[in-house]
Amino acid sequence: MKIPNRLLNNDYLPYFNKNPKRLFLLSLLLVVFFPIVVDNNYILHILIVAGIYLILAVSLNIVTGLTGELDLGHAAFFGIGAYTFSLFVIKVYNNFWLGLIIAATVSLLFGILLGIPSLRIKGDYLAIVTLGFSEIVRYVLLNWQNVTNGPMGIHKIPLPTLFGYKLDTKLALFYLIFIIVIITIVLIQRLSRSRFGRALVAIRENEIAAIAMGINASYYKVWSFAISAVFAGIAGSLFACYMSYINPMNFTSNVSILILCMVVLGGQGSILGSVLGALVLMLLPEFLRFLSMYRMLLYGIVLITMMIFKPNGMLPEKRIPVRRAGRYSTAGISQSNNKDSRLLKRDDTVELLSIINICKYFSGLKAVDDVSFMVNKGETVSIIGPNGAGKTTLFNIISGYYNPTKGKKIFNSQDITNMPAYKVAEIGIARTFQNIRLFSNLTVIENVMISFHTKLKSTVIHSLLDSPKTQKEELWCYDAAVELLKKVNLDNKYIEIAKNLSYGEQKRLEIARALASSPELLLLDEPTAGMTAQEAMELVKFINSLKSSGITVILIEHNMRVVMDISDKIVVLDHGVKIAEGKAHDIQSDERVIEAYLGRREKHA
Amino acid sequence: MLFQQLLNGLAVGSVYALVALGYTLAYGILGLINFSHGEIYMMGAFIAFTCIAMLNLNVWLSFIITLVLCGLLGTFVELVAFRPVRHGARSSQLITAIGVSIVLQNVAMLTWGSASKPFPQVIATNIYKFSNVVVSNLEIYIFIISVILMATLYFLIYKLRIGVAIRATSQDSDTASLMGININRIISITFAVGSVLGAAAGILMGLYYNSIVFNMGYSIGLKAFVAAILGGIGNIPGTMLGGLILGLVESLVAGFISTQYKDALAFLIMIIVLLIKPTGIFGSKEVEKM
Repeated sequence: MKIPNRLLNNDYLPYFNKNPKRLFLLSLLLVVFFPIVVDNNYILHILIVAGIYLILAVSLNIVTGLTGELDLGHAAFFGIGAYTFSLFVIKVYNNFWLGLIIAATVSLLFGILLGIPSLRIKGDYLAIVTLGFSEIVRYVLLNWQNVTNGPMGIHKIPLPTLFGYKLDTKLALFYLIFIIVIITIVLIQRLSRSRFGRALVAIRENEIAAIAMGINASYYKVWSFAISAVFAGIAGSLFACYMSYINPMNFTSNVSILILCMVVLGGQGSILGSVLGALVLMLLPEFLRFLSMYRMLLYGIVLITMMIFKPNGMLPEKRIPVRRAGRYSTAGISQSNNKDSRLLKRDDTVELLSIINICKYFSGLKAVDDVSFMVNKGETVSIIGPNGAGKTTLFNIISGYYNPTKGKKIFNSQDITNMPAYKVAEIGIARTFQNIRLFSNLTVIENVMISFHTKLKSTVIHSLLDSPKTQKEELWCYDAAVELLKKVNLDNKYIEIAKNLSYGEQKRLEIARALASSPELLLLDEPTAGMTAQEAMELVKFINSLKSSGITVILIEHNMRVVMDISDKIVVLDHGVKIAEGKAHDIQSDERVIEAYLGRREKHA
Repeated sequence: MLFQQLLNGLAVGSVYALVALGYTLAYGILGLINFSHGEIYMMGAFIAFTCIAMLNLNVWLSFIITLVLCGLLGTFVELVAFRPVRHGARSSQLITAIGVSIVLQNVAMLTWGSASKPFPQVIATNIYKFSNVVVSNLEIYIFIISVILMATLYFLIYKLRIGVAIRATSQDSDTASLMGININRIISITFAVGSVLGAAAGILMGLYYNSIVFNMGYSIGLKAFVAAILGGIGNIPGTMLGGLILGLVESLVAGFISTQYKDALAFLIMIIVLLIKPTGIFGSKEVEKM
């Protein structure tokens, strides 16, 4: 398991990448000593504001970088946090920490509210919804006179008190705010490396595949908005108590766009990138001050030039999972998660999956029409049929992407007819796709680690605290991924980016990914398509080995050699209707099958 | 009252539609949210102002010069800023557009100052009264000119050979180039067309409101973007209707509900529309094939 140096060392910061703790300590030292050495209130002011924007940028990166949703409304949560905090400490109870918690909670609720449209609205349309949301918030702040005091804003927001001491110097506020900044960065960095963060990048890379890995995409999307909002709300509180005066002009969509620029300039998905992006964009105008009137002009030119020459940002995202052999052994984890035991009970008289009178109509087109068949435990079943026969549609129904128009499906004597796709994956049905759906910009190993999603139990809180449970799980997950990659002969490629693999390797990776959840039933959609004869034969061997370990396989396949070789049973579809079912040699001689493939024989009188 | 609001809404809405078409053209052909398009609109107003008020040129000549210069400006921006990031990530294209917007705004501020300028009143304003409905000749001109421009665009895109090339490029630029279409030229032309429409809108609004300022492009850019999304961005007739609908909604809300919450409600309605029709009223449904 030797990792090439070229991949571990980024071209930048090579020194720190070997040991991220060094970077952390260095920044800690800077934060502690810089203000004492410099001792200049103006510089401190600039740095404090930069620190607050740093929180905003890092938190926006959760939605925009990890989940990959363009968010043009982050300033709304900044404003909601600031106003909630100010109103609470002025009107209800003057306590900094309580105000912070209340502000974070209110932001969280609004974050969930904004997350909900993301389930239906996608891409650029969602971007404009976030922008609209922040404009609405701003107009409410501006016009709800008797609460927000309208355009006049809120004055005299009290300074925080800590253990009876009022923090009334810039230096004290600087330390308070930077402690929170550092905690935020550490927490979000942990989050991005955790099960939660992996789920988010999986959704970004390929939402359908993420769902096939058992990730509840809707849930994670909403939570990514919510968590991002919490930190923005905290930033808002800090801003309010530092400035002691806020008004709606502090939270315009220009601010949202500035924060987005920080994230993109730094590198989407890269937490350190956001830190750098925020610092550069906040400090650049100060350094350009000598240009006076021309400085914003230059600022714009810098943005354009950066995007032309560094389109992925200054510190592009590089997610290379690291095996953290910490204090904890993985004992216990693999055992408790091991579903393999039930697979050993191979019994081909017990039925695993029943498809009963399944129909799927697309406004008049009968893609699948009244198809029924049964699959027993441990069997290998092939579904064949000419193009457009409804094979993939049937797969999409079995795996829960489509709800059938009519009919029922039973898995392990449980009715799963209307079960959502991520649940279907969770209960033990895994699949691959006809046109490969990898998480293409992630490493091979992370592709597999993502697919262990349903086997890991760490919640967001565990990940944020980096609890022993999380550390154990992460270690287990890493080792199990390496193990699985060995099985499909990809163990020498595990930190390669998935899209750089050859076609056959990508297919194998997809199968490895499907196997990660230890499924009872594996659906393979044209596994040998595009493979050489050699590769196809290796795959057949591999499928046979799955079979002997007790996994039930249904495959769609056009390569008849493969089909005849490995199937216990063959189901033939044509125009959405099942025309035959049976053993290989029965199918080969079936009149209707021959007709479907070759056409009707002319009868000569 | 209702009729009055509808008339005002139509005039403003048709200007939104003109600007929104620039968004739709850029989006259709490059998949780019051209945040800097509002600045072309602003530049249109300022260049016309310079020609008429500072250089004392003939009014119509000034308008023609403005449209030509803005068309060239749009092409130039595409060439130096958007072409290099054409194959980049969507977000880096967006940031580039924001950068362009900042640059153009600051160029305008440095050239013409940050105070607002009176736009020369080259068309004498006449007010017509029909019982209790008031219409100015300017509103009528704005509506008629916008409709003529949109009809011209429609003709260009759907009837002319160049329009076929533009539509082919926006469907699939690789395949279009295999069919012998010069993609770079088509994209330049599309940006020029969008910019001409934006500049025309700038002149019309300058005439209507009498006053122009260097950052006037921002809010109308935002509104036009909303209009384009509302109609279904990339869809030309949809965008035209989106602009008109947005103008009407705003005007009705201002007249009957609240002027303060006019913009907020416009955004709220947009969000509700998108929740019902996630790709805009006339947008095509995106189906991801599995």
